[in-house]
Amino acid sequence: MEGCVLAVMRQEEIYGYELSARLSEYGLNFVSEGSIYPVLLRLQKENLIVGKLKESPNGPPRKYYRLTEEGHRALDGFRREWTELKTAVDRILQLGEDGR
Amino acid sequence: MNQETRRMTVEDMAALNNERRLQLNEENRKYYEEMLVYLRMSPVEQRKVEELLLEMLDHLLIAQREGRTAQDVFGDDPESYCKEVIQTLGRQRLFHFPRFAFIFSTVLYVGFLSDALFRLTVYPLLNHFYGVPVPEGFKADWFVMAALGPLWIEGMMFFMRKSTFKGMGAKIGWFLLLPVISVGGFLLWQYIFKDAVPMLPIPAWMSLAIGAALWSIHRLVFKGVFKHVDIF
Repeated sequence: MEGCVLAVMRQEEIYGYELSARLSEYGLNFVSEGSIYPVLLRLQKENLIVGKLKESPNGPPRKYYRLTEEGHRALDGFRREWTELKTAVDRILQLGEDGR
Repeated sequence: MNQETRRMTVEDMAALNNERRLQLNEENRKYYEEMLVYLRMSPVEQRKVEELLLEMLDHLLIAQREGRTAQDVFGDDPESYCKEVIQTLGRQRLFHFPRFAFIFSTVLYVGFLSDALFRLTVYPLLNHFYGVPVPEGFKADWFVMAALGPLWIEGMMFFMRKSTFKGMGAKIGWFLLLPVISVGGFLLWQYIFKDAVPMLPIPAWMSLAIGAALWSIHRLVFKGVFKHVDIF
């Protein structure tokens, strides 16, 4: 989940509600929408993202998040690991199909 | 698009929260306010708590407009949810020096000022009508109370936290426990140390002067020089 949050933030600065909506648009539904907040707190603690409260002309002040340098690096790492894992799992599943 | 403006203070955020919370329907407001009390009464940095509370409120208001409830958004177990949040935010140490100094000095100036007030107005009247003797000094147990103040605040926060997410009966029970313990402790203290606590031989006007001086220093330090330091 952390990796997906980082990936969405790479594209744009985003606030909590928007982020959860975007993730569910992509088909990623969590136990509850609210569970993104502990994740956001964790990512901030690890210095992978930063959040800033900003006032907006057509709405209440909102906390917008973006990736830090470290966040970019973590995302690259996640992408690599995921690709490797995906290839391995695909291969194993393929084996099952062939063996049938 | 979004312009950055001055940094909002904790008070600004709390005020905005009060204003926006009015838009919640009753069911969502009840659910949200339990979380609010729990998080505000937790030993974590208040700025982070207020920021998070605003985010959660914003999320809930949008969800409410779309017909979803707080339970849909934050799940069936708000207490566990809050505990997870607190754990992630990182608990503050029990002894946080700015908070200790703030509470210690507050209790102390209140102690000196009320001692002066009582000895200059209340006791003379009691003495006049009922012959009650006017104390001749400043009771040193104010220092003990000042030192215990931070612990008491900590206790109050603990009991307030315990009273959340409960039925009415348990809520009131937890809520009353601290006053009962405090009054009991105070009486016990009086009973045991009645004559052991020294009386500082200072006249009432000096109590007044010391109280006023402490108050000015307290204001100067916490509202002036160290205004930017997060006390709670």
